Amino acid sequence: MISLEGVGKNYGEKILFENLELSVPRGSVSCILGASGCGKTTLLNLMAGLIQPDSGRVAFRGRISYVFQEPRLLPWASVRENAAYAMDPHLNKQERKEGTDFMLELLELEEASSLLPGQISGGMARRAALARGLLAPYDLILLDEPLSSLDPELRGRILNVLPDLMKEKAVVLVTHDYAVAEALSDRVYLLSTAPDGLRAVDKNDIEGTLHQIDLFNREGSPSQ
Amino acid sequence: MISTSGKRFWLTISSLFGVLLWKVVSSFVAREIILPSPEAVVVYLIGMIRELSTWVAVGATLRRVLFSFLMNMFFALAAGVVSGFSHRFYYILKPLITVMKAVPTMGVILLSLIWFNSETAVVFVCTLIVFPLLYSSVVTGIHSLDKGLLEMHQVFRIPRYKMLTRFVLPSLRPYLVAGVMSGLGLSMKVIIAAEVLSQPKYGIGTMFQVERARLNTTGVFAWSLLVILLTAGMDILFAQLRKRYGAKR
Repeated sequence: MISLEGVGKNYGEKILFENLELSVPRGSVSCILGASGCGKTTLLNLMAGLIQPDSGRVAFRGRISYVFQEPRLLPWASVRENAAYAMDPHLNKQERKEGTDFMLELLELEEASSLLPGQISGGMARRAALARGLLAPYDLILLDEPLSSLDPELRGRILNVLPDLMKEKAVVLVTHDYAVAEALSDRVYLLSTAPDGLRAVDKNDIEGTLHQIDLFNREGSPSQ
Repeated sequence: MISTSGKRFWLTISSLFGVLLWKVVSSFVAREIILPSPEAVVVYLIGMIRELSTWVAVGATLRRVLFSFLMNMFFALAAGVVSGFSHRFYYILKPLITVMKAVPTMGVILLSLIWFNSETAVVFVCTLIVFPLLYSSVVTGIHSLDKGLLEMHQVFRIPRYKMLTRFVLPSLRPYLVAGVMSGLGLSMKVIIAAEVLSQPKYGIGTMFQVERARLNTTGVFAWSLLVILLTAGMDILFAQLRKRYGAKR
């Protein structure tokens, strides 16, 4: 499991986080909701070790997978190569092939498997990145808007299988999408910039919380 | 944009104008030893390329150019990748690179003649001039690597060798192509200049010196023309290779 212990992060003069506490046990999905610009992606980057906290510490030992907000695919590698890119190097050829085939089929990418990222749609690129994230060996997976810009039908099918794929893992999910949050989350938090920080939200309150965030965003809050 | 036929037209016009200007000035000067006429140079060149000794000299120079260039490319790539990722190594190398860039070519050639035999001196001089150019181009390439993809490699703990071959080297390709284009031509010039002074047994530079000593200006012109043709030939060859193998991964 991963835990944030009194984590603080500043950007210049601005205090973004102060004394954040969060623990995500193995086998649970924590969902982070929040207005745009409140630092959701920064929080994920802190957990991934891409940035260091200014105070407190991030305690985690193990392998991490991350589905970034942007696909971040290698432009000269095919969809299949990109999907398999972070797989465990100790797997043999057969295991790699079977794993990749399974994931490409699941995310409906078989037909695009030999295309380059420049030749596919944004939605397909997102799915290729999701495939890479799910195929990588991990104990903790960070998902930043993993299913945005997918058509609702496909999103529904993926939502049905995701819990099985991420069983026994620690999952941190950032989303604006009610269906995604509702289907996956065990615990829900609302993130705001300091001094508020993380606040636990009742699972039945997801819709209301998202509604509040939308109102907040619309009323001219500092957006990204 | 300019069409291919338009491009050809203006290239031809400009080349013809250059030759015409040369012809007019040489008629005015009217002394072969100061400025030979274009046709005299071409006739001399045709005679020259029938001689085996010409090709021995050309072969010797091309061998030096190729050897120095490939060696410099290899070390520039290795050093450039390491300093691109490590600030420490970058600053350790910085004074050396600055000195290499600033040092006067002629001074180095003279010194290297004192220190080394003519064969080594030529390669040494070429390294001093070409290495910093290729090295800087590789470092710039590393510094412009996609930050998102770098983070992706970091998070997934992609092994270094895989990161180098699948991400770093393919990203560097445009910088390497530019390096080959400019570095190869520059190597050719520098090697010939060094040969003129160091006088190895065979070499284009040696032949320049021989013609000059005989006060054969037409010969010097003909050798220059041959070098221009060789460099153009190398450029075309490289462009063809790029067209054939470059578009793919």
